[in-house]
Amino acid sequence: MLANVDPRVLARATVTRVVEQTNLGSGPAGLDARDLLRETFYAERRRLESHPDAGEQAFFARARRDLERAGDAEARALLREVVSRYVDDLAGHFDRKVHALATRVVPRALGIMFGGAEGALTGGLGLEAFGERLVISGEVEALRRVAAVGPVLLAGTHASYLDPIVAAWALHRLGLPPFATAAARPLFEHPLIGPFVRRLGSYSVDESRTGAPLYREALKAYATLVLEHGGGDLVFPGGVRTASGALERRPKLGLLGTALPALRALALRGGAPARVFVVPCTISWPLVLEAETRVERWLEVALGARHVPRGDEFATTRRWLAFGRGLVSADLRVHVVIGRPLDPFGDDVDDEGSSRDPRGRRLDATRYLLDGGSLTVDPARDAEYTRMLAARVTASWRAGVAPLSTHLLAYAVFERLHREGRARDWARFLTDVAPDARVDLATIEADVMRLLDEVRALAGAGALRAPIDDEAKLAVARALKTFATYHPRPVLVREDGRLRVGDPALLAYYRNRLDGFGLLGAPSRVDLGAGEVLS
Amino acid sequence: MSQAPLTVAVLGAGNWGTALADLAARAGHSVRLWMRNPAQAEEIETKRTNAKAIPGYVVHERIRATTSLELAVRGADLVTVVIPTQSMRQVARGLGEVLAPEQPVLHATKGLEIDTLRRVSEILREETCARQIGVISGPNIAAEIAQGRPAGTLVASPFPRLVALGRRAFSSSRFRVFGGDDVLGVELAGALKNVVALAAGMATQMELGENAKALLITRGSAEIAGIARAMGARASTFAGLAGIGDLLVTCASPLSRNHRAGAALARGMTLEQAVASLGQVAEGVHTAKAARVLAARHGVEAPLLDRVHRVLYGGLAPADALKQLMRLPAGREVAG
Repeated sequence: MLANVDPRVLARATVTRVVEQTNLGSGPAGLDARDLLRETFYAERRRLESHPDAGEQAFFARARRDLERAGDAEARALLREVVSRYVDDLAGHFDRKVHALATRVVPRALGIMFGGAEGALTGGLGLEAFGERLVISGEVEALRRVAAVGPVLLAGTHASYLDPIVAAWALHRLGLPPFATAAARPLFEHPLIGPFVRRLGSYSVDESRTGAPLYREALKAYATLVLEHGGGDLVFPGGVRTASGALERRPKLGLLGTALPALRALALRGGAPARVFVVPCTISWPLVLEAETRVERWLEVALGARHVPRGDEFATTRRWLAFGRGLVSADLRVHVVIGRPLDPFGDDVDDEGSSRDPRGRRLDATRYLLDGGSLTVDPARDAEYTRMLAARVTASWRAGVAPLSTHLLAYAVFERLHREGRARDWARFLTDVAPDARVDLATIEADVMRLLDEVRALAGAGALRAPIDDEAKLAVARALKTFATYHPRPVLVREDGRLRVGDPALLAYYRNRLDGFGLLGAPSRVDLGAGEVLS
Repeated sequence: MSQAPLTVAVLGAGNWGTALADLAARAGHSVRLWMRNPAQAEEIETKRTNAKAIPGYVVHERIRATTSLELAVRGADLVTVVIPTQSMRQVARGLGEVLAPEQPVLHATKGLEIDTLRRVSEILREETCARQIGVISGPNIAAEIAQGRPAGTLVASPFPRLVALGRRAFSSSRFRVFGGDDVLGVELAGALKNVVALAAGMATQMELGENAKALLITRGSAEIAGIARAMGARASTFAGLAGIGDLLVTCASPLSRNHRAGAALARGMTLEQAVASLGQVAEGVHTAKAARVLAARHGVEAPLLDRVHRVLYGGLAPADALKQLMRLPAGREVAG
């Protein structure tokens, strides 16, 4: 697998691939080098306004001037230069010793997360202690089987910057070789976790740069080449971490869409039947490290609410330690649910890795790429195939949601307030109603009991996972304890047989994880604007 | 794309399947026309007639008839499915045995599966490996097209290549084929229009006049569009050939099954009597149920479609249905 691939080879191949795909005239993919360079420079200029960097500014200012004077040969050279710069940025943190180290690196990184930094750095916690913090379930055997047959694109849900570490640990626990991991830039730069992430075989995804078309092309080409070289690749197609707390419903097609060209390249190479697999993976956190800043983002962007900066938990070591201690003290677990393996078109695959049509007949999936007898590139067609894949990945994510006690309690409290007319729209709920709202504890326990029944019925039909805390009183108690361990303003506080809403935004955030399942008769509420009535 | 003649498979040799096969053959393509009935295939191959489908039509020499799905489909550049909705799943299952993943499938069937309310493209997805799926729909009376009279239609698919293939297969100087991508909207328009056609048949029989018929067609179209939009279709589809175009022709033609069924009901027949007098079930008799379920499921008001349903299944007299509709408060014409 990837362990045999020299990242420098991969990086050089990526530059060549992007340059090849980009013609100076209008190429088959409709990409023109000059246009791409201009758009890229424009995007960089905009980015550098908010992320100033003298070296970067000088480089792009010079490149912009050069392009205006460039003939075809110079433009091509400039293209290569810009793409090389991006590939260095993506893969430059790749440590060559990566994979030999991975088995030691991942547990130590996890140790920091779950044991608190001091604990892990001083070797205070054993491997088993944090190993137990992860519960892996779902189609584990199917993942193992297909990984033995071909490269796997593992597509995770994304709530936290810690997701790649959790997923990497899960792969390690399953005995799979390490995957290349698309990890966000802040993870690399983090003082505690950064050194480990760099050695994980990660490539860095700079969210602020994804507006630049050549950056996107470089990222996609790199991820495609990882798969072509037989490596596993771990991506988060939701793009950014969920802001509302809800599961992603509209995954981006960019990184998901790398499975298809990788399959085409392998098929063109001939020999053994070409196979690339896409395996959805749902990560459920009882608490989310960045919940406060993420939900502020949601209030600001989706609901148009006034932004109240709360500081960045991720950059604050104190919050990080509090988070780790909270998880341990409340005996919390992160749930990783592996979905059924798919081919790049969203077909099911069987134990041998063969694609199956909806009636279970075997089919040769590479034939979806045939046109006039040969394997072709057709951007419109391939994008539509990837949309079909995305629909199946999204459905699989939903089925993998683990309804944890914090989600259940937040959901029950919110829906109770709504039924009592105290949550008519998001704006009023967040500003006027919820901060002082109190609900009767016994009533909420009864609501949670009902919710648990509904969740069990849905779980029986495979629509989501069975509840972990199966009894209402227990679930409520666990949720209250959990909320109290980490968030400075506890989401809910117990006061004489009643519950007081301590942080309405976080209540909404944790509630939203169960949005859209029709639980307690509620419709999906996440996409409603601030002032729209929560029907 | 090379302009060499295509091999087009047409599954279903009723009047519309035969007319589409004729269009493709006249455009220079070779056509394999599949049907279940060996006697009909024999008739086409030996006498070059398809009398039951289109009386008097001489079958084009580039059309070959077969009862083998495999012979019809294997290697075809385009597979066109023209099978009655309620037989679609069974034929699709057979198609799934012989279809290759890369083969594009276009269907020309208007209706929803009764029990499941599935659209035809959904049935094709469920029963075959087909991914490049599209729909062809418009104001297309098969007999007129087979006579060579001018007409136009719409091919819709999210796959531009399939739209291009459909246009190439069927376009001619007398048949204009437009392109689109709203498969959901086109399928719902094609299925639900039959309910409005039933109402138009009643209006004709009741001699309500042209104003009333236009009122009914326009409001019927708005109700269909309302349901479809709530399901994710585009409103603009309903202003096009597969929307208002198809509705106009369906409601204007007194010979259509739905129209005749509506007229029979307005003459005081029960549903059973109307169906018996026609000798076959008009599609709108099924889709009236579907329309009601879909409207309720998506929280859309559709008073006209609802009254047609009550005439069919609730013992409401057409004259009373009309009175009720005329008394409803009329709000803003265009919602949203």
